[in-house]
Amino acid sequence: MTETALFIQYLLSGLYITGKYALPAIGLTLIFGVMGIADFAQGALYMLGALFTFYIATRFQVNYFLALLIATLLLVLIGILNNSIIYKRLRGFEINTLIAALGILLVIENIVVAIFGGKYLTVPSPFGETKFEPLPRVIITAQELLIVFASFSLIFLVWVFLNKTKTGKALRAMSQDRDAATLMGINIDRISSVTFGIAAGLAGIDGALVAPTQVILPQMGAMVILKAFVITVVGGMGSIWGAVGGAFIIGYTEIFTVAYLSPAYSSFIAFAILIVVLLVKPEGIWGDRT
Amino acid sequence: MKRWILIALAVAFSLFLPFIFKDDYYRYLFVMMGINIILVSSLDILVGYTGSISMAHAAFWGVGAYGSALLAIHYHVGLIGGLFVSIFVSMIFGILIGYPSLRLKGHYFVIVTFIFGIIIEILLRNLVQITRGPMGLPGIPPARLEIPGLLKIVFSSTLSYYYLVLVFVFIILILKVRLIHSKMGRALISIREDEILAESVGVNTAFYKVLTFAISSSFAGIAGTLYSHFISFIGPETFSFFKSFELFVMNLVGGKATLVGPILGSCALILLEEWAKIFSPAIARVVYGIILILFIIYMPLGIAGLISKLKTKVMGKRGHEIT
Repeated sequence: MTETALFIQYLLSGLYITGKYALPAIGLTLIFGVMGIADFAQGALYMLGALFTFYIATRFQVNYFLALLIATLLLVLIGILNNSIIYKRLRGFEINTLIAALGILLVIENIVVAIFGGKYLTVPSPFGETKFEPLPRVIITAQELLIVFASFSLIFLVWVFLNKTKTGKALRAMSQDRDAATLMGINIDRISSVTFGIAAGLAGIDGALVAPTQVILPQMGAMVILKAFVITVVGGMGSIWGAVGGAFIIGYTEIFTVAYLSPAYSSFIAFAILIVVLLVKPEGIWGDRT
Repeated sequence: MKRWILIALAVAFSLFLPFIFKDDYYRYLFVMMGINIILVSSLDILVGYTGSISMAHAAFWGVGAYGSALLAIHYHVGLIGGLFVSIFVSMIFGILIGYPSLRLKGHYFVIVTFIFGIIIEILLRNLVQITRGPMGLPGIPPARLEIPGLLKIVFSSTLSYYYLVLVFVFIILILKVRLIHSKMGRALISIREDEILAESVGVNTAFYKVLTFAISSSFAGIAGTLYSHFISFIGPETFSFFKSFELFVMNLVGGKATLVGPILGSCALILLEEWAKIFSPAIARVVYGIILILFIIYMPLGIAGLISKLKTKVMGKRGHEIT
């Protein structure tokens, strides 16, 4: 009986891990689709989302949700600046953008280490210690539930934006064929700003949502963005549903590796899946373009 | 002729360097520069000449370092035995990563090398029975060169180690020049410039790409042996992804696909890192990142590129060199 309860518990926690990884993965996949940039700097933005929420909530004593909103808006701004200051100058040199992205990650991460390094940073959850027990001995905290709901509604919103709005359609056109889209009069600068804004917003809000469930560390972004990367490649670069599907695969792999094998090997197994996918179907499980 | 004078001057300078700076701290820095020159020069064969961006070079270095360190600790193997093992082990790992490179292009390839480097670090950290995990391997004996009945040298002082590393730096640089100016070197450059075209004129691109990985990683293995005996303690964090990244930055800042670039880049960035450490390691990394971003935007050809640009300006088109 406890075995089954434990198993259901893992299934439930997997959902929350999936939501947590899906948002930055979607951001990455959008940026890669539209701009051809493997933007590892999104990891830094995720970490900043958590950090800003912490700072605004504790320093100015504001409500968690307001802090989350302000942090997300700030990150949208940072994401757009990032693009217009650095990536714009490197357009056309795709590998150089990857190196620059790693540089940005390094710089932001270590600025945070220099300012907040060694401090124990936590944000209390707005729900306190509220827990739900849908089945006997199966527990999910209110914050985890919030992450699940918020991330899946955001995924839905992004999907609506991409399919039902004019800007969204322009964005998809850009990701299908950049040159043809530019010839049709789509402004590449505007679309790239929108893309970076959305991606940074998703990464930032994800960090803000996750902040109450863990200690905020400067290094937290690097590992998440690496996972998000594995997810996008496994699912298929440039495809939203690929990112969500990949997040399910990698999220559940992680949960079950930690549960039944050893936490030390959770990233190891995820990377093994990635390498197998790359060798067997390099365009990703749900990717159709080469 | 002028070229030979310059080379002779550089060799003489490197021979007398530890007597100009007599402090042991400076000599330690020179040894570290030498080891990094070997690493960056070998990385340059991959990144600069073949155009395969590898972010796993520190992993090859680490595998070589652990290989020869374990042999030296448990079986008292000397320098030559250690070198053989580290070259062999690193080469095997190089082929393991070189093989998937045949199927992957661009970002995908960079990411796989990147992840491969992280996997190696995870293994070094978690195979506690062999590597002692995060505690690292202490007590690696100094390098011992022994030919029975002929000679026995123990490189225990920093000065003697400087010359040992210097010999290997010269060997690697000469091998690199020979390689680049051979048939293989021209094949590599053709792969970098246009892989499909290279293949269509009969260059066996698959063979050369894997071979480059094998050569480059075995050089990194040599650097691993030299490093582990010198520092006498190795831990997994030295061979992390950050180090691979650092090597890449050294190559970029110095200048890709040149002989002097990796030398300039390693020396400049080691000095910079030492200087920035006065503040804190975090600040050092911030400075590193900013320099990288500035270089990639404004000077993608590095210091060597700047020098040859100035040379063409001063001397006209004659200063143009083949890279």
